[in-house]
Amino acid sequence: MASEAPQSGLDNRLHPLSWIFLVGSTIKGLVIPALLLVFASQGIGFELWALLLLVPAATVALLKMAVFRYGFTPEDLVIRDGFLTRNERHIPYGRIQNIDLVRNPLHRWLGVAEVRLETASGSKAEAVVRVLSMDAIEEMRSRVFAGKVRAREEAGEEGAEAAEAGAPGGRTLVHMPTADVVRYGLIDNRGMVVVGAILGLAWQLGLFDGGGPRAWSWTSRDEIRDNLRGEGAEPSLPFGWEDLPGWLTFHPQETGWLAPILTFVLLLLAAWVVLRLFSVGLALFRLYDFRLTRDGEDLRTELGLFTRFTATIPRPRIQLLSIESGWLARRFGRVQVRVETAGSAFSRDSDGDASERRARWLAPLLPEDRLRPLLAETLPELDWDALDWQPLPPRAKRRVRNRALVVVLLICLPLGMLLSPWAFLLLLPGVAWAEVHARLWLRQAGWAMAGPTVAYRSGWWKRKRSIVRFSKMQTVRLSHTPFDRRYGMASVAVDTAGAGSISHRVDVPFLPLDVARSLRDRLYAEAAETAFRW
Amino acid sequence: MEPVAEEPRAPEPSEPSGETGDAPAEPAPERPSLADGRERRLDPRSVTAARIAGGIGAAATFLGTTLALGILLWADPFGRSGHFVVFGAWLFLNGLISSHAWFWPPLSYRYTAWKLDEQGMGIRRGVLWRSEISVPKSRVQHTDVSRGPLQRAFGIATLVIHTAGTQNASVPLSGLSYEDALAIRDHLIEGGDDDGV
Repeated sequence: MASEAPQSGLDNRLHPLSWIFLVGSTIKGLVIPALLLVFASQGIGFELWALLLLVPAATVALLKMAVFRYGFTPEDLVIRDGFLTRNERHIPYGRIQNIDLVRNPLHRWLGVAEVRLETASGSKAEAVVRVLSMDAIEEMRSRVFAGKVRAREEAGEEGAEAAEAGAPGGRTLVHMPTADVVRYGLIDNRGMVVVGAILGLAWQLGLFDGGGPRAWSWTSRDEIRDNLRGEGAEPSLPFGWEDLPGWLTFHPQETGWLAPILTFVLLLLAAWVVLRLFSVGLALFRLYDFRLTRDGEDLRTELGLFTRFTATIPRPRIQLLSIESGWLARRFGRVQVRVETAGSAFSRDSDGDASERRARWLAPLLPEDRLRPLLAETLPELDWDALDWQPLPPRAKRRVRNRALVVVLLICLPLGMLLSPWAFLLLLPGVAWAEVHARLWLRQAGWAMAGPTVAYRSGWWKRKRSIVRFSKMQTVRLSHTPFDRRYGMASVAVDTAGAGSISHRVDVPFLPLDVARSLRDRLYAEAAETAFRW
Repeated sequence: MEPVAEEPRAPEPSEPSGETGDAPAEPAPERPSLADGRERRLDPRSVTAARIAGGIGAAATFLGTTLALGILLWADPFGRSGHFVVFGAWLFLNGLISSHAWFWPPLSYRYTAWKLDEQGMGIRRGVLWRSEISVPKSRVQHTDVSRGPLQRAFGIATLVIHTAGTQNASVPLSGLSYEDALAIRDHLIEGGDDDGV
């Protein structure tokens, strides 16, 4: 059908104001570096002329907007674009995994949004449509949805489920109050990103050059005095140095060792507080007014303070659901729930970093008592109370401890050999830690099956639970290392589509060999029995 | 996990039978179905092929290191005592690589097996780090059968099973006889109509 290219079907255009965003996206990559360059070099030279390159870029953007068309055939969403090389893309409705919207303040003011269509094909969004009016998006959504229902009915299933859908709006399953967003910021470590960015910027702007670092360096007041005396000037300290209280500078001859250590601790504490503040700010910026709504078979998330992201996750397409609760989250009585979908497996877009988009939040932070209702809505096959967690064998404790000991050794040996033999004293708390870690880890770890799902949990400081439906399992892998064989153990891993390489997966280690075999056989049989539909 | 039980039809890996190399003359229908759930080994000819491939690598390493050795002995940066170290390293490296090329393929052959049943395919491999991966038929997206020049000369092939997974998105198995690879492929993709992505 691609060859026919019916003109009649392609009668939808972009929003007339699209050029703003098209030009914007072309420029965005250039303007900030250019400005920085101008700013940093303190002058206007050839850099400004380079900005003239934007003119052709903008012209191209306008042309792109003029030729862009999309339309709906009975089976496909058709998108045609390209000025010189014309590209017509047919995306079958049934294959569209997610329809994501991005709305920054400008988008919202103009009543438009950027649309991203994702299929399971991986690396990035199948099509990015900049920009459509909200009405056009609503039409696209309903058309795609109707197309999906038709595709499913033709395949002869899930028709009944789909019938209830279609009503706009939907029910709100999760709404995150601002207090929870702040809590999320406290839990999250992302403040580091901001600090890194600021340091990078400072580096770029040359704040570290010249007089900067001398004032920051860890020299004693006496040394500085000595240096200055040599130059014939009257002995004085660099600007600002005199104002510092004596205990904040490093001169052990006068104050002993306590002061510098105290200073160090205080500085660490301050850094920690600043980091947390950044994290909270970032969380507010990104997760403000987080909302999860259910509309028929679709789950829709909406988040962001200025730029609103809207993502649609078809409920049957959840590949893996994972529930996390770190130490601090448990103090708050909260859990974090996210899902992985096939479409977003590797998407690394300019907005929203990779990890955020690979795994989608169902709830960045959710009160523990709300977990069960949420699971019932999103993963109805899962019977949470029926999960009978099977512990790992007690022998596994030795394995965990030995692994921890290896880590301890790898840290202590170089320290002790290079720095000072005193570092070997670290071995004592290290060994104790390994023991405690192994004991606590074993208490938490376990696997379970209930209904058509398999689950694995691990971690004691940050507890993680991952759940996979049988119909979403791809391959089952039983493996054993030489160490495993010494203990008669094996691990069983379930592979799914869209499992990020870093994320927690169903990968159960240290199982007794016979248990591992029967688990593998069971999972393999279950997977073979069910048909996979993304 | 013991090595795969010896199968009557598989000859010793060290003596690959050259005459079975041109087997595809037989028409296909006479072959019994492979999907019986029994564990099978790779084609024994794969051992020789792997040895030759390893040998090529070892020869390349030999050439490179010998050249380096010559230069080092000529330039003589470490003095007389350094000669022994350099020569020792050369000997060790080449010994390691060529013995790996000779001894590893039969070892890996012993620990590699596959089985096919109505539900899908199982592949077992690994000498030290062993794994058994099970791919349900219903999860196979597509399969590749590829053969390099060396593999063609020995009548063997590499089968790659692709799934929608992440960690094991493609499962390769090299060293199958070409006919087996084709038969497995046909079995895995037959009736794959239930995949309404």
